[in-house]
Amino acid sequence: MNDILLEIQQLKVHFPIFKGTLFPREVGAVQAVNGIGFSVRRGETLGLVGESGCGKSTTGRALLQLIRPTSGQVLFEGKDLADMQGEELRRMRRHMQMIFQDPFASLNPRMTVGDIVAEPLVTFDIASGKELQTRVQHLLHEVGMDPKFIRRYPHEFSGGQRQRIGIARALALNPKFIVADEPISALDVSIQAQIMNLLADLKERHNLTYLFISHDLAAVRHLSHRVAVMYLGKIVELASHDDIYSTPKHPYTQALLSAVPIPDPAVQKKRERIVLRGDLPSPLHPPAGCRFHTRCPYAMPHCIAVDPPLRDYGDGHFAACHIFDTPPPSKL
Amino acid sequence: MMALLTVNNLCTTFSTPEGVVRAVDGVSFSLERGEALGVVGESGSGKSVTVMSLMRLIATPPGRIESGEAIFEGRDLLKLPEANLRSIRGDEIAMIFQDPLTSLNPFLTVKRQLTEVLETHRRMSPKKALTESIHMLELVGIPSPAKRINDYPHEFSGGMRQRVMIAMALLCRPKLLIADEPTTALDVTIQAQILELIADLRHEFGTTVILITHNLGIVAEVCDHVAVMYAGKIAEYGKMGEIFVRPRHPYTQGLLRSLPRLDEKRAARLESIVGQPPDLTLLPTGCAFHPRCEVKSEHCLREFPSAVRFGDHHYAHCWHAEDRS
Repeated sequence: MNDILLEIQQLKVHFPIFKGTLFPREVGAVQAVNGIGFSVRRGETLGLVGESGCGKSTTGRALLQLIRPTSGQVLFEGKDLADMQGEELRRMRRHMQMIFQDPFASLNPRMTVGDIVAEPLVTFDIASGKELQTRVQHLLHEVGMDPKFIRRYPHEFSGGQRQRIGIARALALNPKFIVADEPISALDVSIQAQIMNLLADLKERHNLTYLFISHDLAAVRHLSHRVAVMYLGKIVELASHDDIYSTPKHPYTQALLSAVPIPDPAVQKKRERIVLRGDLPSPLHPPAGCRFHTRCPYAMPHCIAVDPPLRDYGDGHFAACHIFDTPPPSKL
Repeated sequence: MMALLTVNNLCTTFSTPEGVVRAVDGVSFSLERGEALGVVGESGSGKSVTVMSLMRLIATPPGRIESGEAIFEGRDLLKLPEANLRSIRGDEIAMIFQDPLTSLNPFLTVKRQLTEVLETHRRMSPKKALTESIHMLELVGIPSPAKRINDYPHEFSGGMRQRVMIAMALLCRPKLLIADEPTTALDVTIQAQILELIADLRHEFGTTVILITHNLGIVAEVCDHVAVMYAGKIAEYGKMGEIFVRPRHPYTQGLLRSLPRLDEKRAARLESIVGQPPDLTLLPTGCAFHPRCEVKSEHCLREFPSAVRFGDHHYAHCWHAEDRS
């Protein structure tokens, strides 16, 4: 608990919607992230899961100030990034890097692999000439790519190899913190395990801290120490990976876990599945009170009126729900 | 009992600037009535091209069905005149696709798209077609269907749109439903709804299903039989229980081992399959899996393995399948 690398408090990211061309006025806002807080310890992997539109990617981007937060604090080693501007922020950026989902869209098709990996080193004036060359080769080697590919272009590689190039670029500046936003979702099944192993190895070797964002609950469980579950811009549960998967507290987490098909017919037959009714409500007009009440099998009148706070139920197992005086049994 | 569909030695090629690619290379299988077959494989393994070939939906050129037969109730789908085929598509065989937004017409209301199917195939009056369509929307779980049927596809959410697709596919009570990655674009909680719906409808109408997916968990949930495809060929085929409990092909074994699972203790490392999926323009000789295989031998480099059988309905194309049982 003592060694916290990054902490966010009351983070909000709203995207305003304007109407009118001549005199545009704000008519509403998509509340992508709505007042969340958590901390990431040094050397930890925090998993962030949720369905599309829950705000997990926006959170990742807001941490790195790629999207400026509407309000709230993002403390990186005690300094508030949300307050920083210009050069000061740019200097901090080298400590925080990002790995993107789509290795086809996140690499410039006109740059060679060598140039892509070298770019951060050049931008921050860290290496040039012969040393730059050596560093790039070393980085490629580290992510399991043959350094002879240095002059090739991204289109010559498969998805998994491109993702390795993106990882080499993220590593170039020797960052302390990496946000990995769905890094395996676009990859073939047989390649996903390779990339997860690579991420785990690099973390060991460089003492990295990850925020691992994914909708794949099995992958998040495999890589994370703690897991936060998001729903419509809020964190509904946060706990160690053991606790969240063995004794999920929030009804949404339970439904989410029970919805994941398990590749074993014998296990599959024995499971009881909670199928949620309805769709995700629009983040433009999120439901009042608890945002999950429209789909919750246990919703009570109280839930429509009062938004439950995220509370600690012991051993750092946080949940935001009104029913937890007697937690329902796990259904996994 | 006669099989509903028997596919023999299907080969489909595409001509590309890099040469002719054999996307489907000698695929054979048969489907009993009421069965659900899962076809799994990675991108480029030929799973989608196989079913698109059966429906003759391959753009020619660049694609070409080179050889093979697909006997559907005594008729060869690959040789039928286009006019006859058109009366089978959407009527006796229906298909649902991965992305319902691109497979529904954005300019037409759902009503128009649904009633059209019945008016064409069943020669129903517009009024009867409308009643029937509303009934089907209700069956797939769309709330207030009589009102929603007048909406355009973009007015539905992703999960609801997939339900509309399923309703459209089932309007004529097809004998065979082909679902190509029907839940890949959807969130897990919505995926669970759609899988439950497919299972219910199978139960209700006794529809035979081919489900294409890259997700082995979905297969375990829905299917009776599984075909694992690799580089245009079926690597292993068998009953679902058999494939998951006693996989024989090293590729199937590797896939199952490499998946992190929610129901097991967390492993320190995942056992991954080495290397990359094959480039179809530069396929390895012999067994296309050999560069990634842990048990390969000299023989695998020279010759594609013949099928090794394990009981009636389980086979694997591997020279070493028997050694490691």
